[in-house]
Amino acid sequence: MKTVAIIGLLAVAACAHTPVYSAAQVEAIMQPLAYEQQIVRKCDEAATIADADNFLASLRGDAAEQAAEILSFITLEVAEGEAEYVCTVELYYSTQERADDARALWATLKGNS
Amino acid sequence: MPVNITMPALSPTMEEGTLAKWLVKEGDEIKSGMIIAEIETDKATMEVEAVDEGKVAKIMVPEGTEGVKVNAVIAVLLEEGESAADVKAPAAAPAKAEVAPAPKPSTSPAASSSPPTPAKAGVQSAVAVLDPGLRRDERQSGGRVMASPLAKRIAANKGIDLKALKGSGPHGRIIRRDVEKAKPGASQPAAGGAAVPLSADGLILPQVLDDRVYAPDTYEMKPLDGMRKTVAKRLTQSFMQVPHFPLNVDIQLDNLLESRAAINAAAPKDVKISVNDLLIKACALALMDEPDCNASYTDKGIAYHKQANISVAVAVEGGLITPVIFKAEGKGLAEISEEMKDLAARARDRKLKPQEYMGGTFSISNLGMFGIKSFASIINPPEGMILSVGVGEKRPVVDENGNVVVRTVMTVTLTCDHRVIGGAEGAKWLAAFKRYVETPEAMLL
Repeated sequence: MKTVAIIGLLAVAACAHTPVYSAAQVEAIMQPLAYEQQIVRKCDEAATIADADNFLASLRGDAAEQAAEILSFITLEVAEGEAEYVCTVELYYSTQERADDARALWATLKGNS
Repeated sequence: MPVNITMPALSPTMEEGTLAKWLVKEGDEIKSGMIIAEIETDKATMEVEAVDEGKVAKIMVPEGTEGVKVNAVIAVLLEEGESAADVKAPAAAPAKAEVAPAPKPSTSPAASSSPPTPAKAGVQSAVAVLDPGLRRDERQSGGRVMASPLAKRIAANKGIDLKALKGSGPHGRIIRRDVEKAKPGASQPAAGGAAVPLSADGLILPQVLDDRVYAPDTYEMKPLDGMRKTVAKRLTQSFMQVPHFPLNVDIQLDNLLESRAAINAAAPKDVKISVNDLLIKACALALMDEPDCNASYTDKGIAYHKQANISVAVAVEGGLITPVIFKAEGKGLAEISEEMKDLAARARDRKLKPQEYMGGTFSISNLGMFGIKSFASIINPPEGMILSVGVGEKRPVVDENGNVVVRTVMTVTLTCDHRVIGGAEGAKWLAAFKRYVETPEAMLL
């Protein structure tokens, strides 16, 4: 009983530090990170870049569901795209830039929470 | 634990293919990077490369088998220390029956907390599919270079020879960071020794001849000059970006030839009107009659030109240039003729000023003097149309009384930019042009 109570307190404590993101913020962060993850997976290294997954894991409730939908959609979109068109140098670098912006936004929002 | 080798997907939409050929047999030891099979779809034949190493325990799908589903187990590999007894029964089941189809495309986000794994991800752990467009260039003395698609693209852009790099990815695969770290000094010479640059707009990919297909001593490489580069770039852009469509019509030339003879007979000695001069004038007048055709597509809208500036294609050594007869609708035949002779002569000497070959609104290209019956030119952007003129030749024609008579006829082809010219507009322009050529007196009105 005591153990359950401690775990419960820890969970509440963890939730208390979870930033609350608006739907627009979730999209602004998750979309670029998901594209980065999937394009790298398809076009370069098989290893997954973890930021998209980490962001998803940091969310709760509706925000988590929204982010999961975005990641799922982008995963399919990239998977079914022809590599000839998806794996271009221009697309890769622009995706990186947007992902960097998303990471900066994520860091800012975390810092503000 | 035995490793399943599965049917790879050649494209995201591929669901099945033909296992065309096995390049290994049961009992063979294979190493990472070895080509083990060839598979075919309706679009391509590609080689399957082993990623893992081991012994081929069992070939599950014989060569020549059609309709093998993507992800179907096609062979089983034993790793070191394993024996045939380790191959479990499920792996030996018929390939088609045991494999789930590749995921179908979806148009809406799936409400799932765990994103689906692309079909290729699992497949790539067992085999890699070689890109036939790249493999010739990347093999060296029997070995081959493994690189990610992105690494290949970056290397091509930077002119870096992948063979000179060491990969830091799995099994020595060259990945993006390896290419980014490489110095451009590791550039790959083209056949014949000349480096092939990539155009700034990325439209013209480097073209190289494979030394093993075209031995360097069997051809002479002439470096590209500025004109050839410009022609290549502009025509590639035009052909790729402008939706072309052709319209053609036969035009009788007898009246025009008679008129030309009469004009030249009456003209001063230094004036000699050519058929081309008459066609330039007819083009300009037809553009005035059908102003919707004197147009250029722009991002802001369609520009309808108020004057007929006729670009005339002139072949010069090493390329093509199109000097312009400006406001041809208002010029007399003698003026057009004199101007054209001057422009053509200076074009061949490459002495034209930019303002003399820029600003056309319509082009005309005549290969009749070479005996070409008909052809369709590539549009000269930003112009909306180009007329290709074939040879004037004697042909049997059924006249208005139903009699077969011999007439001098030429076939012309009007190539239109479908973003600005519709089929009906193009047809109207051709009808107007035909009227002027077949009734040249109308040009005097």
